[in-house]
Amino acid sequence: MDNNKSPAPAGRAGQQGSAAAADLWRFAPLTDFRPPSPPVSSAAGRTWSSLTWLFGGGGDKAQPSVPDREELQSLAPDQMARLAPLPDWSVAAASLDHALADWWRQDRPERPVRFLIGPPFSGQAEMVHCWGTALGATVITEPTSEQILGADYRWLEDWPDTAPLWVLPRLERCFLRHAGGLSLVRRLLDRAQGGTLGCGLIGCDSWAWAFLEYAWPVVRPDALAVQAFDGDCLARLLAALATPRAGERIRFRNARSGDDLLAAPFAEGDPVPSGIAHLAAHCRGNAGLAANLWRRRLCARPDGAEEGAAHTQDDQPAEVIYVADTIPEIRPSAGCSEEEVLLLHTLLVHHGLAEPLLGDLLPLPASRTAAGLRRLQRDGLAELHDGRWQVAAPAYVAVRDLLRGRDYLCDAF
Amino acid sequence: MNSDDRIVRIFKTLDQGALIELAVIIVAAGLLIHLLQRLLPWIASRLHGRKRLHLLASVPFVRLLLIVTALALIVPRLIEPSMQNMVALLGTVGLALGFAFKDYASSLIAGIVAIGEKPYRNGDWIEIGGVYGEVRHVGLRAVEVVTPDDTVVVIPHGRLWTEPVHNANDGGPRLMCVADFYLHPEHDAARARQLLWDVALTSPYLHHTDPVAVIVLEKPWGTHYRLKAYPVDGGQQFRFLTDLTVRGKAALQGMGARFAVAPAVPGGEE
Repeated sequence: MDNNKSPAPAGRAGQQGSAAAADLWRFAPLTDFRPPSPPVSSAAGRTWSSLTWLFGGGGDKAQPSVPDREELQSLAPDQMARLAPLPDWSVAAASLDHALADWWRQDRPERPVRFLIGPPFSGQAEMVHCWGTALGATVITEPTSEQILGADYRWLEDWPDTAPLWVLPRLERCFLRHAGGLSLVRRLLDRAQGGTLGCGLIGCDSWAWAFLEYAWPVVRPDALAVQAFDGDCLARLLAALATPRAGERIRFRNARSGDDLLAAPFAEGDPVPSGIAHLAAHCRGNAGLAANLWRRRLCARPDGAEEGAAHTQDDQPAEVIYVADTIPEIRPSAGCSEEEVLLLHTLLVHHGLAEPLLGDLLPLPASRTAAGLRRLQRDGLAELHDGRWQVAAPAYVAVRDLLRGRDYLCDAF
Repeated sequence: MNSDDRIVRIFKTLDQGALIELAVIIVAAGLLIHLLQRLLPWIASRLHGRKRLHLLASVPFVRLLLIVTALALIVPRLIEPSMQNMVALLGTVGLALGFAFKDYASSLIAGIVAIGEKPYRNGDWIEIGGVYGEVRHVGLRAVEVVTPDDTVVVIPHGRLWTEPVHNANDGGPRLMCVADFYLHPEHDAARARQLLWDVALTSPYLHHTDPVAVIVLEKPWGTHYRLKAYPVDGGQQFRFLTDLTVRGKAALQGMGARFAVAPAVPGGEE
């Protein structure tokens, strides 16, 4: 490794209106991850909701608890982009750089490869990508499914050996849960661990990592993870993401009770709203998932409510945005069939899959796989993105609970 | 004093109130048992894994508790509960059962032992006398087993005294499955072992925290591979075994291994 490494990512926190946003992203060893504790009312509510789901209202169909959209008006796309954009991953990458600085600036790092693990929607792949591009690292393209199943080691032979630093943002796309789909990733990890590929950072989805720990049982206590966002951190992040109009604050207000949930910019001393702490606990500290669900809750004022502009207590004009009372959540039915459970689990382990590949990985005929996917889509549990089926964000927490309850392999997040 | 007088002295005179009390106790106990035998399995059907099995296993115990409670309430209403009376009554009942219903009584006692010692519980996968299946109901006299071919087999508890009980999961949610493969001896055994290990590891039914093992045995006709692993739930065992077998065969064929072909020998196992 030479000394001509590029400077660290500049950190575009300023673009989000607050340099403090970068401080919200903290990285620590995977084993130190602790999800935030739910508020007592939230925990009790969730227990009650689980019991009613299990013994009462589960029925045969998935249970959406989304607000009645007819009563609320969706935000226009430009409004959504201003009020609740998804996190700027380059800000998180700047914090990641601080966490990794001691490692990658060494001439000959003791550990040639590091890992960043994150749950679905947490943006770990984007962070790795941003970190790598900011440093001028080579971004490795994942092998195709044919290369994986054919154990085509040419993909490894073509590794850019001149690059001082490389990043592989999506390790979950380098294997398939198939008897012939593990050789390539094992060879990759062996070489990476042995240092023959040079110095690199690998991003991996937490579900894929949980599986790979069995396929490649090499202890990696130094794998990093984004630390969980508690209510306070999440409130600051969501407030930092919103861009107020000149001279105004934004007040996010509960559409049912009218109580203020959050104000942007977030002022020091503002209490942490219980609704945000509830959201943080619901998402197990996953900021990307929380931001995703937050976006789905925002809406224009309900009919007959007060105007969309108000004044704060200090008489500062404020833009009022309404937030649906409930966190959008779609639960699988209590009697979810084994086929659907296998499909959901396989989608999570691979962080999404194309439909033809599912036929290779599951002991189901193609027609049953297709029908199962359509059922999951109809119930809002799975979505098709860029040709890959994925578990939908509003369903993720409930699907994880379902799989954990049925003893399937789960992630550590 | 003749025997008729003694019997009259043992039993109380039953007035209308006592008869109503007895009827209420019997009906209430019957209803409670009926309700619990439906309610607990219904709740269990909404659960998975260990919680489900623990709840199912509690059904016979709760039923026995209710029966004992009902008897404890009924007996003092029928007889004077003195030591002499109890010995006389139990002795008479014991003699009658011993001679007239020997096997029935033996199975009843074995049923009580089964509730205490738990050689099988609801939800267990057991084999008794060549019958393999899932325990659906542990009754007072017999255990009901549902075979993989969906046939209910009623086995008296009395078989406990004379036959071994094979319990595959013993109250736990998981049981070991073994898939057998028979290969021609000329092949790369290390690679075959790794492949079979990967076949188990990549099965969607696999319970990962339990161990996977591949046992290799050399035989006169070829090589015998035994792939051992645990599915997530005992109820998946046949789908799991099928998945291991289908994908295991495909993987072995993919590496160019040939399967052993032995002439069929009547009565021969291997």
